[in-house]
Amino acid sequence: MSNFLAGIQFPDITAIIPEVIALIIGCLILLIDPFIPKQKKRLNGYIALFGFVVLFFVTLSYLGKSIVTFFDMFSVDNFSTSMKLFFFVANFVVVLISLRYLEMEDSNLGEYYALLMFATVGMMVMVSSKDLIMFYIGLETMAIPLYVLAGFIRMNERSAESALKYLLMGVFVSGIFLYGIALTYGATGSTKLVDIVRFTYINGVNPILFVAIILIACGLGLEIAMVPFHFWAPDVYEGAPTSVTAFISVVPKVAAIAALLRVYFEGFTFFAPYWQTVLWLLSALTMIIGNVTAVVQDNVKRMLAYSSVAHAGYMLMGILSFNELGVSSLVYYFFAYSFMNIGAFALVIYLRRKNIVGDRLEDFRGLAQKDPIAALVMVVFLLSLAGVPPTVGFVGKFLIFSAALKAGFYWLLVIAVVTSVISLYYYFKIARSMYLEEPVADEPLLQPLSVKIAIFLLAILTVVFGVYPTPIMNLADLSAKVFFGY
Amino acid sequence: MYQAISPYVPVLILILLAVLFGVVTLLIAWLVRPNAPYSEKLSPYECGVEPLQPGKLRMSIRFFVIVLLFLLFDVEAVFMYPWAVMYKPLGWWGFIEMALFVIILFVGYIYAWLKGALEWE
Repeated sequence: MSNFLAGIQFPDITAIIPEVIALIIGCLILLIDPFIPKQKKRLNGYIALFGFVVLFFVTLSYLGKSIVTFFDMFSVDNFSTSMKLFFFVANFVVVLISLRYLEMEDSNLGEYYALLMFATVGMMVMVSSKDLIMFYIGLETMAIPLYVLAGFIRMNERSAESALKYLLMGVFVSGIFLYGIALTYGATGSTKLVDIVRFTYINGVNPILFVAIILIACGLGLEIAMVPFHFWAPDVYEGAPTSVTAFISVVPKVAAIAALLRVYFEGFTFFAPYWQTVLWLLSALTMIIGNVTAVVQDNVKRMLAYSSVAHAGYMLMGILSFNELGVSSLVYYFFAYSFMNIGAFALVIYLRRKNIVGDRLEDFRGLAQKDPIAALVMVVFLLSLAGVPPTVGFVGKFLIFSAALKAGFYWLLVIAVVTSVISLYYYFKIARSMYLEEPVADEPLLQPLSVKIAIFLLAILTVVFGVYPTPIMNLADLSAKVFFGY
Repeated sequence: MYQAISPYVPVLILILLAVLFGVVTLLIAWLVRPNAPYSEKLSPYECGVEPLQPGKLRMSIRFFVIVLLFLLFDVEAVFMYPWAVMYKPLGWWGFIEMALFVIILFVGYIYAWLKGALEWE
């Protein structure tokens, strides 16, 4: 009876130490939260901040290591390590902008930070897994806290609506994803990426896998918010708490794209021409629909939602280029996108005051006179989102476009450039409102310190890495070497 | 290709038979039975007694929390059975893994307790 256990090796526990630490911090916040008096709930946030700093440095020591363990299901390589570093940087800023915001919304509960931590664990598993079932478990571990976070302002109808919409779409799409996994298993007899690639190498192309490839793209497409699955994005982004919107629009999206990249590169390597065609279409549609629909929005959160749909299109270009430059430019773009997009949402939080959510275009009216520095910083983020030098957005777009050029996708490049020009219009609608219109007399700005710190940090990162992109580029090159060039 | 699919043909036949059985039974019953409804016959069945109140009752939301907690710890027990059966072959490694699983659930239990999910009022 015991001989089936004989071949099982003891897994290498050191590979999952960051995940375990994140899990322990999440549980710790849950346990000490009931003992913290209501006025001092901020302490939970400080624990989370400290936790992300610790996790960052622990994960940094994994850079350069390469471990594949848990029966070829879990891998620590430079790609997954740099993705994890990205999560911690982005989450650190998200916690920073949440501290004051949750107090304003009167839902300052410790569970917020615990859920953030658990979602992070899910994403860490997602980027590290080499097995479709592990991907699915990571995806769900990430998604379930997100549904709760979207409805975190409990007494707000819109927040509840957005949580329910997100949940229904998420459950539906994760069913599709599972069906894709089932078809892959049916065709190849394994859910491990190594076995899938081996099987297709020996047995050639199997038509069932064509369907599986599309279904897996659909399953991850919800979190990516690419076009056939983007309908939830504006509603959820608008209704959810702004700090959660900043989180959902950046971190899970990046995790899903990284997971899709790994599945396609490592599992369906021999299907490259096929999934390149599929992603070509999806990427083109995502860029066109995202950018064109954003033009007619007058709610800033909705506009940024469509803009984040459009950015998903640019990021898909990095996958479908299927070359080393594609991966490294994608990793760079992840960082760039997180700086500028969280920054733009942080400005919306900055404008949050009594009875004003700060997400209407009118709320930005005349900001240049009321708070010139905030207006200037917002312009920096908008320039970066539009891809104007000297910002990270420009470098990111430049790299991604040159990767697509190298792979020979000329028409996609034309679409990307044209839609980028369209995006200038709606980004500058906000800038025009801030500089050319008169301010309306209303509640004064609160100017919370933690949000200020976050905004300036992001603005500095946006400009500094736009002028001097080398540190992130080195990290990006390291992670690209996982897939190409041994 | 052909060889790979053939083991599933009995499943296909089973599905067809199952569907056919349901459809044919309903069809024959529909053809044969007399159709004479009246109000008592259409009312919800309550052991022959007249219905006392409408079927849609408002339940206390407290039950929801209790059900959730029950489900959680019930599932825990389900996971424990296979481990208990394989206790010896899995050895210490299995014991530690299971202990971690129980500890994580225990954290959840303490959390629920502290948050007052077990209090009725």
